[in-house]
Amino acid sequence: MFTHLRQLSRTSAMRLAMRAALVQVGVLAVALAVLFVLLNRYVDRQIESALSGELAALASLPAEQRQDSVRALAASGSKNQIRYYRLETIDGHLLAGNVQQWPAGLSADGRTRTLDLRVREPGEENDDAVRLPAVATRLPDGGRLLVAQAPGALEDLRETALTVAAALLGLSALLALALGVLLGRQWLARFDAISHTAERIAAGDLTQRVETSMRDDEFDLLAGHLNAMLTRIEAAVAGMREVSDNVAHDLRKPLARLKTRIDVVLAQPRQVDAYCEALAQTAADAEELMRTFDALLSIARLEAGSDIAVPETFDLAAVARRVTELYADEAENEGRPFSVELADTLAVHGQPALLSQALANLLDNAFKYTSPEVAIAVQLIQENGYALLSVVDHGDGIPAGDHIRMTERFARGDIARSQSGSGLGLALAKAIAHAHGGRLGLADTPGGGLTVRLSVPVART
Amino acid sequence: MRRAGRIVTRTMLLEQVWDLHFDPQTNVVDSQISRLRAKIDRDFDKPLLHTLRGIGYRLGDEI
Repeated sequence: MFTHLRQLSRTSAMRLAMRAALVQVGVLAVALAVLFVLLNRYVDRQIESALSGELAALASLPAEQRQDSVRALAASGSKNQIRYYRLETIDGHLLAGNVQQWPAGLSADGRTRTLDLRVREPGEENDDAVRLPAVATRLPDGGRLLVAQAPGALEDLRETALTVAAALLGLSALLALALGVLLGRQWLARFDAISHTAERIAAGDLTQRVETSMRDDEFDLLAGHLNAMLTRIEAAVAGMREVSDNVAHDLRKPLARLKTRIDVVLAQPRQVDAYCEALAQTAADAEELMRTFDALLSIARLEAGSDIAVPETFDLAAVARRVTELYADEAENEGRPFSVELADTLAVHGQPALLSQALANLLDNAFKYTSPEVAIAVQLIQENGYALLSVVDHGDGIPAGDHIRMTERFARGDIARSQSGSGLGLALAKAIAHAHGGRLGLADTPGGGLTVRLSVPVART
Repeated sequence: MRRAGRIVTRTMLLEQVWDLHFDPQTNVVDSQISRLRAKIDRDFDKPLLHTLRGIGYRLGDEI
């Protein structure tokens, strides 16, 4: 309980609530003080007017009647209405009333003053000393009349006001504290939810997600961002796992083959030529392996979004022209129909080396997996703000159901399986397209064959 | 003839002639070389352009 409270008192919500409560209580105290002062002044004025009224009424009576009235009033007074009176002659002799002595400092000018009086209550033997507001006037016969307010009513009102003010202050402080604790606990509960999820994730369970409420508040916003981040991380980790699985599975085979060949050569003494031949083959195999590794690394880097470090704006048509020239000669050697139809210029943003590699990969595939009499066409056009690069062949094509799978790492078609190759060409081309904000898609060529389309956004000038 | 007698790898050729920073897997380079060989060695008895298997190409006398 104590640690819980301490934890609670450390929450920023609690601190904020406490600070607000302090300000609130302070403001309330000031307001109550002002109210109290105003109330005091009002009470004083009320007393003053009541005393003045009583004094004027008594003064206006004929002398005989006045003396009787004062005597009766001084003797009767109920607890609440008690007033003290003194009617005296010109030479200071008490005619009627219960104030024993004319108070020092009170002049008969009709102005109310608060001062010390010596009074005697009806039916009592001794004098009391009290401090009360009093007013006095000089009478036509030269005598003086004094009227004083009773204690009680005034003090009661002040006390009540003070009590109410204190109660109000206490209550509002208590309310503020309660609100602070409530807010703090709520805050702590939601914070704990996120914190516990984070702990479970830290323990290795990436499938955990922070719970969100329907409130759409700052906690939900934070939770949403965290969840989006977690989804991204989970996908990245899954991708890493997939790559390492692929590496383990698909790179092991060529390595095993390589080792077998070396073992076979070393098994018995051979001519130097045989060793040279074996070494050359081993070097070629090693190079193939390195290429596969490079492609895997490139894909991983592209997917992590870190490979296009310094993008530049360049002419994709020029890049495509250079790459297709290389393959045009190859096509001529094979006697293959090869047509190239490129836009004059088409500026895109990114890395020319990557896009030329992507196009070369697509052309490599088309040349490798179709027989030499199959026509291949390359086209570059601008369409809807995208540079659209197509490599179209009229070979056997790939079943439509396999189109998406073919762009995954190490995916190989039926024709490709019997040939050399890493199975990474399309995956790398797709990663390059994605890294440039574009796409890569496979489609059937009308009349048979495969069309691979790579699109990247046209650079804005 | 700047690199006469020295070995030029496929990668060097691709980078310096075609500005490609990778190696296509088809034999595009080989076909370029064979076209070149056909042009320069056609009318001579001794070949000038040599293929070094698994390494690259070399222009010059036989080693």
